[in-house]
Amino acid sequence: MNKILFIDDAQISSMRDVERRIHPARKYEGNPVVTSDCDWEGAETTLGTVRKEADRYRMWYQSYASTPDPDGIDSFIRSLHLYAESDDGLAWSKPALGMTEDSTGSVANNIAFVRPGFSKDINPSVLHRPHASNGHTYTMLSYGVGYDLPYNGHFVAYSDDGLRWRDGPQTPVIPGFGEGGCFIYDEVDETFRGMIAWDPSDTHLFSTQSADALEWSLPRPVLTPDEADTEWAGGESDKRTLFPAMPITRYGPVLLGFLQVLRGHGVGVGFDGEMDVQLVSSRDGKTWHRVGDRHPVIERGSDDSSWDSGLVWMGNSLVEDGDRVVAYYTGCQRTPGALARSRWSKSIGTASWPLDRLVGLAARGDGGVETTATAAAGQLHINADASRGQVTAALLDEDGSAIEGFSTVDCNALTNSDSLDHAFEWSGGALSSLEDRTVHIHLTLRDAELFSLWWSDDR
Amino acid sequence: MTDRVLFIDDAQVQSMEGLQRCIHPGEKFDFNPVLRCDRKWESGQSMLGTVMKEEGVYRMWYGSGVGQHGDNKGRLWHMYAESDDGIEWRLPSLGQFTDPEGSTRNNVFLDPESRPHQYSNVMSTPRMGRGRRYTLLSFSGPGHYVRFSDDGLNWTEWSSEPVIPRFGDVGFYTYDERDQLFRGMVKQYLQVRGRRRRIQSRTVSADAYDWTLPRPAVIPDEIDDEWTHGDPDKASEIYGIPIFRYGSLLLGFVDILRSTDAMGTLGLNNQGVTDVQLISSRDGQTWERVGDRSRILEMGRRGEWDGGFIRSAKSFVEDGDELRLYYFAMDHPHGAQKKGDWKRAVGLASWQRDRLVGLRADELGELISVPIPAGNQLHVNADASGGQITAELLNEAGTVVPGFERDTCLPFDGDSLDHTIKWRSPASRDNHDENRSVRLSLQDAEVFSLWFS
Repeated sequence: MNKILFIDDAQISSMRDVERRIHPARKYEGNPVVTSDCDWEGAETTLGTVRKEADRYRMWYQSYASTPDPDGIDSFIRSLHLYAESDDGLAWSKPALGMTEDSTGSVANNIAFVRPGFSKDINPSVLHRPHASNGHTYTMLSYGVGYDLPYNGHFVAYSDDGLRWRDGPQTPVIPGFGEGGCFIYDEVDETFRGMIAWDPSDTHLFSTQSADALEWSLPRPVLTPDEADTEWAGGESDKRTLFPAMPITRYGPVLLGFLQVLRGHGVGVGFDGEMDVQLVSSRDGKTWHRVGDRHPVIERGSDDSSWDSGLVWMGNSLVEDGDRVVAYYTGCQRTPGALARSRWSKSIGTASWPLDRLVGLAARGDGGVETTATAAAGQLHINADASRGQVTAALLDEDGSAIEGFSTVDCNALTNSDSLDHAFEWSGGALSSLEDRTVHIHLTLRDAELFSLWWSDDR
Repeated sequence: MTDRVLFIDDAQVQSMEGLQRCIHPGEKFDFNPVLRCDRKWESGQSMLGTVMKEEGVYRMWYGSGVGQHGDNKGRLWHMYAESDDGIEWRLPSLGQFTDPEGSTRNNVFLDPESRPHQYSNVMSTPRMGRGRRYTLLSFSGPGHYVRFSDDGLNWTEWSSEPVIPRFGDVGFYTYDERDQLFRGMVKQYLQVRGRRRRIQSRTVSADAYDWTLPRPAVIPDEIDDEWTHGDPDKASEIYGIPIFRYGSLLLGFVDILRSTDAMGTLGLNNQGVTDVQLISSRDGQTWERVGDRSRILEMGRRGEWDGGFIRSAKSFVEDGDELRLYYFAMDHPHGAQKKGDWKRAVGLASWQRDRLVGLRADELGELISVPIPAGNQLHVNADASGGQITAELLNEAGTVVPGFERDTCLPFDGDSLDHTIKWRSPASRDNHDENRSVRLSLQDAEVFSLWFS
């Protein structure tokens, strides 16, 4: 099934009187769903990765914990790679893995992995390669710093089950660069993709690819704040917009980026600000486009007392689950100076959209969208909200005239209804007569919003 | 003639005993510096750049600070000079760009109004085809840019985007004819033993615009830091490494900054003097420090024009029996003055052929080379003026080849860049088309290279 999404213009031939509308994810009322509530966890709890495998949600997250030195001399901070599970993605358990000693000397905890010798081992992305061999079903990329390391950078680890990890090369696969690295394995292109920063003083995000997670391409700058991003600063020199990181994910035909947009002011310990998540998209992983009017897709909590009022950011944590798209994100309460503090309280929450409904094309009154596709024998489906209006479809031939029997008036319109999956039928008969023919699909909207479109093979 | 066996590393040494690897600093020209940027509209700041010799003419591409004040202060313009002997340089009138005096009768070869560049790495690349007989790589602002030219003077920028984003500001490049690859060494800051330091990372490209992710090639190790005696304010950094092909080896001149403000609030680690040491590689990936790391290029004494900060450049020239390195230097340490006030000039140091590094026996010593394709005659570049050298040839099983025994070898007791070893036996004339190891016995002598013809 080749789905057509309207997040960007790539699959649109023409459109009239519609606007691209961004829909912030709807937050779960019981947020946060994961907090630091175990003795071995520090105050910071950050994503990480969330996946759904079979009927189980799996979460890899982090905490930074003060732990006795193995020599018993002093304590030091360890970056803990922690693991949690859930049946519904809302109620999470922290299983006793019995693998790593915590600060109390017990192994009855959910610590999956700790790298000795690392003073920092952060921003892990857990990537799943279902057909990988040699115990490489899971690949973890994280950013490491340590006195005994040859140098800092992005390190690799491997696992069969996502719990027992083995170190990859002893030197970083990407030397240096900044801490804010986000990685995916793109099953469509069978490519590892990374989005990394150069250093805190550089405002660009860089894109890199790899076939094996070991040899990476030269990172190239793909995004930097533009004038629209910095408009809020009103020209004041101590106000800056930064892009600290951008988790990316494959979503059907597009790559989505969840751009962390930080609006900060002040310098040094006085630096303060707010961060939310905007949507960016790409068809090739090289050229990235800001989506619509840049309204946040994950919004900060609306009042200062909420747990995620200050900063929100995604991890490698977008999960397609039936009729929903579920996001997990880290949140931090709005507290003055939080950005400059080394320790702050963060938790993990969840939010979701109905399937494909992150971005839509909406018409107030009459509007139209035209796209081109190869017809299949089955049915043409749309995901649209026409609860106060209507969406109709016509199939046009190459010169733009309606194919007989497949005009707007011949179709069963979606009228006064909201459907994630509405199948069009035409009085012209079955679509099998058009199979493999290139057709223009003309959708007419009246007070409706269109999210996606696809052909099924159902006859 | 077979590739020369060089003793800069151990790759072609099967075994040795009683020998030490000696690094020979370049001999500086008595009348250095050979080039100063002292026209009245220049600030005195010079930066190499490239020197190469083509068709009997030395050609130099260098940067010169232009403008004493304001926005131009410290900004480099790119200049071109020529010389017949590499010592007396003339500044040709290229007529391309207007200088601060309003004249185009000057030697400026890149548009001063374009983005400011550092380190003109000019490479002769006829293999790249028409329009690309020369390739220039230089750093500016967001990254490293490439330009092409047919004459080395009129340049076309390949793209307005850098071919290597970031990894600046120091970067040196060479075109390796043997492997038909562009090779680069670019600067990166990494955390090494708890400090953010300059290191140099290697990268390669087939075409000068698609480059691999730079990976650390030379990182300051604990030996580099010994001089600090644990003082947290001090640290060694790898400031830059011009690299080049020399026979079967890749060599690099490592500029090591001995930073004395490593805990500086800005983390810039700017204050300090430099050493220039030698590194070598057989594959361009693994780089080895040579010998005891002693200086291959000595800094001048305090107060001399090159007594504060000394830098090598892409300027190693093989000229007959002479090897030349053009370098730039200043009389005060890096960071001791504001950058715009730096006064730097270009000097010359030289070696005799292959004599950067040798294996020396103060008494008796012996080495056996790895098997190499043999020819009719064995040559050595050696100084045995205080002793002697004899040789014998071994087959691949390690057995002495009849007629090429040490006992029948005529001892060499001179100092020659090319001495042909002779044996008394007539059989010694027939020794080609086999792989042979060479066993050299040295007494109070030093050998720099050997080869068969």
